[in-house]
Amino acid sequence: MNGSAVSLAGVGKDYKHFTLDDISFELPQGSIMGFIGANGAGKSTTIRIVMGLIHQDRGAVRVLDNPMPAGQVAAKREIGYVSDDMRLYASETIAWHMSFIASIFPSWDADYARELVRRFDLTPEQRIKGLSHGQRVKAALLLVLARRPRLLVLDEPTTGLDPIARQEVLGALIEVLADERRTVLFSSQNTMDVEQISDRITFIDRGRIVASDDKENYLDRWRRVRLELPEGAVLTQIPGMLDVRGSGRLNVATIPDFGETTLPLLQATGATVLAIEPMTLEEIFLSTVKNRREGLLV
Amino acid sequence: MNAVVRTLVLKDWHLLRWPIVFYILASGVALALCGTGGTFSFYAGAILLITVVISMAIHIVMATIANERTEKTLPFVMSLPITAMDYTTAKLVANGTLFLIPWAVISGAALLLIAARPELPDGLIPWTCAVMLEMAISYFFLMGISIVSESLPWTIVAMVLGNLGFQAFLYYSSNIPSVAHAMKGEAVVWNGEISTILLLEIVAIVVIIGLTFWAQSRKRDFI
Repeated sequence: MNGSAVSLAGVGKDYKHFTLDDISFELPQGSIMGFIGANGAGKSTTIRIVMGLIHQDRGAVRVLDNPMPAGQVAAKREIGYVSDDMRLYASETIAWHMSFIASIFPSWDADYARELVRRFDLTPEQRIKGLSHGQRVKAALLLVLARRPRLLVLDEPTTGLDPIARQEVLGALIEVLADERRTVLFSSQNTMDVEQISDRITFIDRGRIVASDDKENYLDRWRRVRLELPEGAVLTQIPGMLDVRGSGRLNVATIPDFGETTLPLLQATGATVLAIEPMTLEEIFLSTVKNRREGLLV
Repeated sequence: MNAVVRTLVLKDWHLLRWPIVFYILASGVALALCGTGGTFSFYAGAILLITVVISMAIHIVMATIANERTEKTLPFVMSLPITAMDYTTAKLVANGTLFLIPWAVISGAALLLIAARPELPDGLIPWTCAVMLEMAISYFFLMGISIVSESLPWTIVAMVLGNLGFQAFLYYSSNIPSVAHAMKGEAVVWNGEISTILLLEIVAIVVIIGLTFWAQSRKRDFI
């Protein structure tokens, strides 16, 4: 057993109007990776390749030490998968689904399932068609969590939820994840959701990975700096500086690798630093994607 | 057949248990109509019986295959420890048994009725077997297209083609001189023509199932 729960190396998939290209990342055991991208960026395609539901055209995928898609049966015994386009059987109750899953997975923990029913505020006798969207997502999470899978793969589970339901689902998920160290791959187009849960973040755009790092590294390194320049001066480029906006004397620079040397370098240009502000994950994502598309980031 | 596939088969049986009971009861009504009263009652019962079998075939395929995609329960099923071929096996076994068991009961009852009613010539029995097998072909064709195409429009096309094929079969098979002649007699005659038809029908079902597996095995994207 190596240290990675999920390992993708040079993975690609070609469609008529979309190409997933050279996807490589490692998800260490025990990590929670947020997988962020816009609609159509390739998140779901990548996750379906991880699940063995789509066969990659090139590259290697290993999940829990199983080569995919060949080893998907062994891998899926230990993966809990929930996606926004997954529904349960509308005519059946939550209890029926629990019994169905319990009959397939010997790892089903009935006591833990009852505990999750209580925590998620669900009624086992209720039919799926009578549940709200938020309750349906919680029911789907209950069905995978009570199996105690080694890897959770959550493909935009909060998409389509209203803000209250989204916070309820995330709260429930955070509470459960705090109980036990699990490996999680969590995709979303909502950076706030990912920020609450993940310790590693991967950005994907137009079928390519554009950045992958620890969440804290992003939040520690990326800074927005407000600068005032002398009359008539032009801000000189310093290494790593991106996206300078503003006109005249006031400028705002985005710096993805702000360190001890950055401030002296900025001051050496003649600029007065008015403020150094942290950036949110959403701002970092947007800036990364924009600059990658413009070729400013490599 | 592994344990998960067996569970999926039982799941489809569970989901369709009440519709199947309904179709069996409806076919009972149709057979009762055939078995009592005069000619009108017989033809009304026969038409109802055919309608029940066709409706049951469409209902099973729509509920367990087409709806699994449109109602998005397919990702739930495919998150279980199975391959695409396991899924195909589960669907073929579940749908095959869901259709064939009631179909066999209905067919058997129809044949018994023909044998029991003196005004119905026993010579109808071989042709009725061929008709019932033709309905099974239409069913497996519909099921195979639905599994392979993963498309509601193509499933509907298969439905239309299956129905047209069935009507054409009724017309052409009942107009084969030796078959038409035997149908009117009291003796049950398994002549060369009817035997060939029955054999070709069984081969067609086997070929459809084989082609379904072959097409599924070539797929690289399952969702």
